[in-house]
Order: sequence, then C-alpha cells, then structure tokens
Amino acid sequence: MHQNRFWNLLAKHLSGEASAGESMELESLIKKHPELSFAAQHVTDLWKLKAGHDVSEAEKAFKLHMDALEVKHTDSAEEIDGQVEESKKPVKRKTRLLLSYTLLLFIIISGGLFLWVKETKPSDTIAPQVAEVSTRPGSRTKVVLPDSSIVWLNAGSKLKYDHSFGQTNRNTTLTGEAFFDVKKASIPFIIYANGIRIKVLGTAFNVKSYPNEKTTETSLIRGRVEITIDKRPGELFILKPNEKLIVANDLMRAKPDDRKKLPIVVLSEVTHSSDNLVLETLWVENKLIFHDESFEEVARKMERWYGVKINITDDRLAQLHVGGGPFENETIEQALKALQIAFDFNFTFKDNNINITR
Amino acid sequence: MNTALVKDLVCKVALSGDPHAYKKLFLFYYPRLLSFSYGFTNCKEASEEVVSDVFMKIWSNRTTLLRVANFHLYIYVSTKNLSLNCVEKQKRDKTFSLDDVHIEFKSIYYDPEQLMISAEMFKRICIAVQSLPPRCRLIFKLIKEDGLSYKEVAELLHLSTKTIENQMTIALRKLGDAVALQKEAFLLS
Repeated sequence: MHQNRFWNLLAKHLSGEASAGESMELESLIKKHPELSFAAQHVTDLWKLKAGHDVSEAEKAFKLHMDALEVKHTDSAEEIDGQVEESKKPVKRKTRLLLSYTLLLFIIISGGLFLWVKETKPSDTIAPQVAEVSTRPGSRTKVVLPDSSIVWLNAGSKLKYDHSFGQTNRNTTLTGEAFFDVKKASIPFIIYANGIRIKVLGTAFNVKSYPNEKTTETSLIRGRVEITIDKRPGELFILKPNEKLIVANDLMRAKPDDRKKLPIVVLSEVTHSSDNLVLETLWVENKLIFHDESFEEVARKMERWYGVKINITDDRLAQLHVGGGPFENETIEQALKALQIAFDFNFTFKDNNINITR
Repeated sequence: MNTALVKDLVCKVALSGDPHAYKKLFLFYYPRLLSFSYGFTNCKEASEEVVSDVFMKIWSNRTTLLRVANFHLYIYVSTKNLSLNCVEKQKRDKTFSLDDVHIEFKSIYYDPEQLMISAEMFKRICIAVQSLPPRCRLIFKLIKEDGLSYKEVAELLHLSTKTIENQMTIALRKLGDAVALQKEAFLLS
C-alpha cells in the first residue's frame, strides 16, 4: 500500500500541493524504499519538461483575432455613439435642474451665513466655520476629532470639517492620505475625496487621494465602508475587511475622447508583507515602505515623506519597479543608499533637491 | 510565465487597456487553451474560434477583470463553457462526458533528447500516457502543463479534490511503472 501513498505524495509534491509534513513523509518513504528513488527521479525529470508551443501559430491566430475584434469594435462604437445622441436631451435638463438647485443652495447658504454672522457678532467669539488640519511634506500628525474618532494624517495632506461636525453630521473632506479609526455612532461618518464619497459608521480604514496621483485608494482594515463615485451615480461599492477599492483619477485619461467614459474602478486586496503587516497602513507607524512600485511613484512618496524635491532624469529608470524598506529612522540619504544596493542608479543631493540618474 | 507575471499583464489590460500586455496574454494562453478546447470540440477550427471568443470577451470586459479573483482559472472556465456551448450547438441531444475528451500531451512527447532516456523507454512513457483514461489524462495535463492547482481543476471540472488526488496518483503510478519496467530490462541486459 505504501506504493499508492508514494505516488500520491509525489504527485502532490511535483504540483506544489504538498504540505511540509507531506514532503517530509515522501522523503522518508524514499529513504525506506530505495527502489522507488529511480522511478521518482525519472518521473520528476518528465514532470519538469516544458511543453513546446508553436509561437508562430499563436502569432498568426492573434492577427486573425485582432481583425475579428476590430470588426466587432466598430459595431459597438456605433452603438455607443447612438446612445450619446439619445441621452443629450436629459443631460440638458439635468444641467438646468442642477443650476436651479445650486441657486437655491446658494440662497440658503448665504441666508444661513447672514444669520450666523448676526448671531455671533454680539458674543464676539470667533468660531471657525470650517476646521482644517493639514500637514506639510515631511511631517505627519494624529488628530482626535470632536466625535473622538482618530485620524492619522500623512505628509502633505489636508482634512476639513465644518463646525457642526459631531452634532448634526460627520462630514469631512480629504486631500492626500489619512488613516481613520472612526468611533461608532448613529451619524454616518462621510469622507469626500477626489470625486468619491466614503460612508462609514465605525471602522478603521486608509484613504489615499493625492491630487497628483493616478488613483484614489480606499483600504479597509476592519468594519464596513460604502463608497459612491460621483461619476458613477447609482452604483454602491461595499468593502469588506482586507479589500481595497482603487478608482482611477481623471488625469489618467488625457485623451479628450476618453473623457466621457466612466472612471475605472478596481476592487483588489490590501497588500500584506511576509510577516503579515498591511503595507497600506504602515505609514501610521512611521514606517516608509515600497512594494513593487515604479521609481516614479517611489520618488513621489519620498518627496512627501522627507519634504524634498526629487527629479528622475532617465525615463527607463522612472518606470523601473523597485521595492525596499521599511525605513523608520533613516535619513533620505540612508534610504536612497539602501535602495542602491538592489537597484542600479546614482543620486546627487543639493539643498533639498535630489537628482537621480543612471 | 508565472502567476505574478500573468497578474501584472491582466492589471495592465484592465487599468489602461494596454495592447502589448493583451497580446502577451493571448500568445501565452493560445496554445494551451486551444488544446484544452480541442478536448471538448474535437475540431481545430471550432477551438480556434472558441479561444478567439474567449479573448474577445476578456477585451470587452477588461475593466472588470481585476474583480476576478483567479484569472488563470477564470480563463479555463470561460474556455470550457464556450467549448461546451459550441459542442452543444453541434449535437444537442448527446450529453457530454469527461470521458469523451481528447487530450494531446505536448510536454512529454516534445523533446525526447532533453531526457536522458533511451528511445525504448520513451516509447513506453508515450504508451503509458496514451493508455491513461481520458479523464485522468485531462486532469494530469491541466496540472502538469497548464499549472492549475488541484483545487482549481476540481472547480473547473466539477469534481472533488479527492478525485483529482486519486487521478493524479493513478497517472503518476502508470508513468512510474513505465519507467520501472525499463529498469528491470536494463538490469537483465
């Protein structure tokens, strides 16, 4: 019977399905029955043979496929044009409606402002209508909001909320990156960030929304969040723990004919390091880490983290994917030197400007 | 090509509609899916159309691609479904059984010189592979040549993981027997 067990284990071992215990069992089986090792070796050799595929056939098929795709594409392009034509009228009506709402809102706000100014004048206290917390590049901060929610603000970021925060609403506006640990309460906590709206009751999550970056990312650590995107009305995205929603920002679609397309939304998972730390929120612990991202993105992160200017002269270098860190107490020079060990580049340092060359 | 690379290509296709990444994916999967689909359709032209349709679907749904948890499995499932649709069109009355699949092995026949074995042993191995029951051969091929996991094959073929394990044991044992016979012959000579 050991024969069957042996082939079962070998099959698992070769296909990468064997657990550590099973691999050990296989080894000891071979030791106990040396007559098996000959067959095992040959079958292993056979297994490792790669299939020879005819690339030219695939190339030819690809050409045919692209032709077929093009034919289909022009059909669907016409369909899209037709839809645009039809939807013109409602859009116009919508704009008019929007205009009247804006006007109404303006009247209400100015009225309210007038009353508020009138009310505050006698008491002579200067209550800020909008509270704002911001960090400069190179600094991070932790704030406790009036509702006892805690917010860590990453470098070069800004969080705004109005004076009624915590009483009638919990609305905030974020530019940049922040980690939220929201206190549970009946009033929903809402974050507006670059065209998306994140609604929560009580959870912990990270929002990254720098205006000069390609995407706005929301990573959920625990609890539940609901996200709506301005340009995709009627769609609600619900995140579960360890999920991440990435929304492509407008600047990515530079081509004018792409403008009318819906923004791209991707649901993925948060990234874990080998020791199971969530990389998206490591900055909260004052750790800077790069995980398989382009040098360009790394440079932008470093600029914010250290409050410097970084210029990469070589395009290929800018696209190179690098990883490194976590950096905690290192100076920028030490961090760059650490990256130099794995990646081939040079840098010069002058005042707060860093030039990266090949 | 490993999983990370496929993931990267899928990412590029999904996020920016990168045509080069799309082509790379196509070239990588085409021969694999063609032979997989052929197992169902038993017709080269039909399979070529199926694979092209699979990729057509991938292109038109590219923005939702990253919501797919396992692209490798997804593309095999799509190919299976489209292949079965195609077969169904041909013969609506006959239900399809996994025992009807025709699977061609590429890697084992590919280059006998890569293996340090005699022609005789090579023949034995070929016979052993050919004599595997079709279902067993399909499972063996999907795991060995297409790099699917036991769980993925189980999901793809609607079988239990235990069945996959048993079929893999049978396949390897048959191969091992073919090799062991050779050893005996070698010792006798």
